[in-house]
Amino acid sequence: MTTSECRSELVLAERRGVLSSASRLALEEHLVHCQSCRILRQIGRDFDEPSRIRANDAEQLERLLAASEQWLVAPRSLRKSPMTGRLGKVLLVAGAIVATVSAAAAATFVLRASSLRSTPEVDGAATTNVTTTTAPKNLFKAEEHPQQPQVEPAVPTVPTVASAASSEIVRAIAPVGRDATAEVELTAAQLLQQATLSRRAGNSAEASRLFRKLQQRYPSSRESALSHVAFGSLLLERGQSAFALEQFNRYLASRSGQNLAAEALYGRGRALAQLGRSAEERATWNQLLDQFPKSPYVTFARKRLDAAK
Amino acid sequence: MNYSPQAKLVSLSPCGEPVSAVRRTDELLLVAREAAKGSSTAVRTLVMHVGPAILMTVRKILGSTHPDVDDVAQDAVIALLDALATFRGESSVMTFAHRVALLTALAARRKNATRQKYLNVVALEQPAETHQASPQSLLLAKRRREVLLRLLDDLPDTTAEALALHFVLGMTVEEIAAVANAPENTIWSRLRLGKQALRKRLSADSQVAALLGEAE
Repeated sequence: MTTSECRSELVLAERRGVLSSASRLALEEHLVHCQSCRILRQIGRDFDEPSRIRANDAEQLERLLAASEQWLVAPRSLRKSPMTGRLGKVLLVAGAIVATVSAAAAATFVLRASSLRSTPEVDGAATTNVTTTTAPKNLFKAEEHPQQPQVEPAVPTVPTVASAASSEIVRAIAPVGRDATAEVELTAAQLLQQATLSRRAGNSAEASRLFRKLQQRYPSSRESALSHVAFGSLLLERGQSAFALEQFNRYLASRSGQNLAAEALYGRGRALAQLGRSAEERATWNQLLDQFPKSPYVTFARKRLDAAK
Repeated sequence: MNYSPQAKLVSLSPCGEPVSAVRRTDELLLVAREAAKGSSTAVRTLVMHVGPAILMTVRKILGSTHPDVDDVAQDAVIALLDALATFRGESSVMTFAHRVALLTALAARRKNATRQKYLNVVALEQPAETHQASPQSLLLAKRRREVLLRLLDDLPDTTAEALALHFVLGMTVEEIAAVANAPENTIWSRLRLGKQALRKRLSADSQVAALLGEAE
């Protein structure tokens, strides 16, 4: 198959954080030969970087809510396509004044609902426009966020708004660095869990931040030791080979069991390959073949050793 | 196209490894339909769910600190709400919202082409602690984004949309076909043409040409 015929599904799966270990191996081998996938992977990363969660996301989301409130109150005859004129902007400003209270109430409800509480005034505000159609309670399937707690709707009459307090929304609107108090209370296991989920969701910047926080706050924990392999793999995907190598080395040097030693050696070998440190790379592959002859990485290790001859 | 919860096998090329892709029921579809009828609760719920995705998509096109991100994101929300009346569920609501945001941002970018100089400056000033990348790699990333975005400006609308959905948002051929309501073969043809054009543009920029590599 020529690269022009490649549909790049492995690269797209990697970008969504849903690639299995075996598929990751296949991707690495494929990228050696497929220019199309190399381009897609790199450009995908280039575009993912500007889109990460920022400190003022909550305020921006409130403004989007205000705009939607304006959409509700503006007469249809006055609604223009925003791409053809700026009358919509004038209407937005005027409508935002009218919509501020209800938008703030909705945002406040979501922020408070993140701790599974509701307030009487929000309940009152939320029930003013009750529809007879009951929207589904769990808007995020378990397979998407398998380790997130199931949030019970705080207000039965508005289950969709209450279920918006699931971790996806809270994560999206919680600005980086602003909710530090909540994160101080997180255990090592919770930090590792959130970092893993962020990575699966394709939010590599957030995952990196959480991995670093775990390793800084709980340096001697088992979770911190385990995180070295996952974080190293993430850094390797982002092309940060030197930092990735450091992570794999830290895992291999740790005393918290060697359940992921084969994965760490595999990552170490790839990092050394990217850094051009051939002698160390060969030694790593030989170590992997010697210590883990039945691991799924032996084929790749042998190929790399053959290529080096 | 109706979504159902049954598993669907999707063949993954090039290794041919089959992967099951579960088609999940689109929970936002009911919310979207109520929002289209004017339910303020449904509208708020919908915006709370798709708002972050819209923001992220707009930032991908304009740049994270571009002064128009706010306005364009609001425009995208309005455009989405306006389009709900004709949305038939060919794709998920979230995918549809991504597409609306992408098209809105691309249109805004074309209209504001003179502000690219400002965008260049702003991109270099992103805070260092949020990146482990060097200034040089940040600059290279910005140049690669610009190569693709300028190509999108020059391509026919349908090809540009397919290329943007694939590269910027990471959608598969299948997903693009669903959201654009076009046959998969048509989308695949558009992508092939777009990728060829992109390779030519990348090779013309000596600083980013290294991305092309030599192995084929």
